[in-house]
Amino acid sequence: MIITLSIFYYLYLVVVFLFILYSLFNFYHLLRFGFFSFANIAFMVAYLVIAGALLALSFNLLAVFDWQTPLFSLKIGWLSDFFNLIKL
Amino acid sequence: MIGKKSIIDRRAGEEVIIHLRRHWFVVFKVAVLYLFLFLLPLLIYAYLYFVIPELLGSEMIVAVLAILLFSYYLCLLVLGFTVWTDNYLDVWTVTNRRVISREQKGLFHRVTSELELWRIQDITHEEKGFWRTVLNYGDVYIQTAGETGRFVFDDVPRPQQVARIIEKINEDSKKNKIDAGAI
Repeated sequence: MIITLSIFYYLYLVVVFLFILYSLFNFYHLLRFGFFSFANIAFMVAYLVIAGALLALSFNLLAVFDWQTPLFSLKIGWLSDFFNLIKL
Repeated sequence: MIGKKSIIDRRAGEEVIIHLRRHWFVVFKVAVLYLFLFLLPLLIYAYLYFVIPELLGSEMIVAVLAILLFSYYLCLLVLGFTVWTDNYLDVWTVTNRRVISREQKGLFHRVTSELELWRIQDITHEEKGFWRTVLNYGDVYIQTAGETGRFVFDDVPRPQQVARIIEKINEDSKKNKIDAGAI
C-alpha cells in the first residue's frame, strides 16, 4: 500500500473542522452572553472576514500541489491485504 | 445578545451604578504577543530561504510546510478569538442593591454570582506592578460575611475610585436600612 502526500491534506481538514467547531462555540457564547455593543459585533464580523479569507486562501494555494505524490510504501502484509480487501 | 446595562432578575427600583470589564491593556498585551506569533512563521521562512534554500526546492516539503503554516494560523486565530471571548464576557456590575459578577472561565465554564450590598464587610484595591500603576488599573477585593468568601474584580480600570463608589453605596444602603427600621 502506498501512502501519498494526501495524508497531510486530510490532517489539515481535521484542523479546519476543529477550527470551525471552536469558532462556533465562541460565537455561541458571544451571542448568548455577550452585550449588544459595537465592539462585540465589530469583532465577530472581523473574525468572520479574516477566517473566511484565510480558509479561502489556504484551499486555493493547497489546490496547486499534487497530493497523490507517494510518500512511502507500507509493506505490512496483513495491513496491505486488509486495504486491498476494502478496495475490492 | 443582551443590552449593555442589563442585569439578571432586575428588582424594582434597582439601578446600575457601575458596569466594569477588564482594562484595555490586558487585551492589548495579548494582542502584542499574538502579533509576534503572527510574524514568527515569516521569520522562520526567511531563515529557511537564506540558510537552507534547497529545502524549499522540493515541492513535497513546500506542500507540508504550507499545511503546517495554515494549520498554525488557524490555531492562532481561534485561540485569539477564545481569549477575546474569555475577556469580553467577564463583567462586574454594581447596582444600588447588589454586586453581580459574571465570569467566563473557559469555553465551557461560566460563573455568575451575586452579593447583596449589606453583606459587604471590607473593600480593598490593589495596583501591583509598573503598568498597573502607570495605567491606573488593578484588582478590587470585596470581603463578605457569608460563605462566598470574597469577590474579586480582576484588572478593572480605576480600582481606587471603584472601591470608593462601592463603599459609598454600601454606606447609603446600610443607612437606608436603619432609617427604614426606625420608621
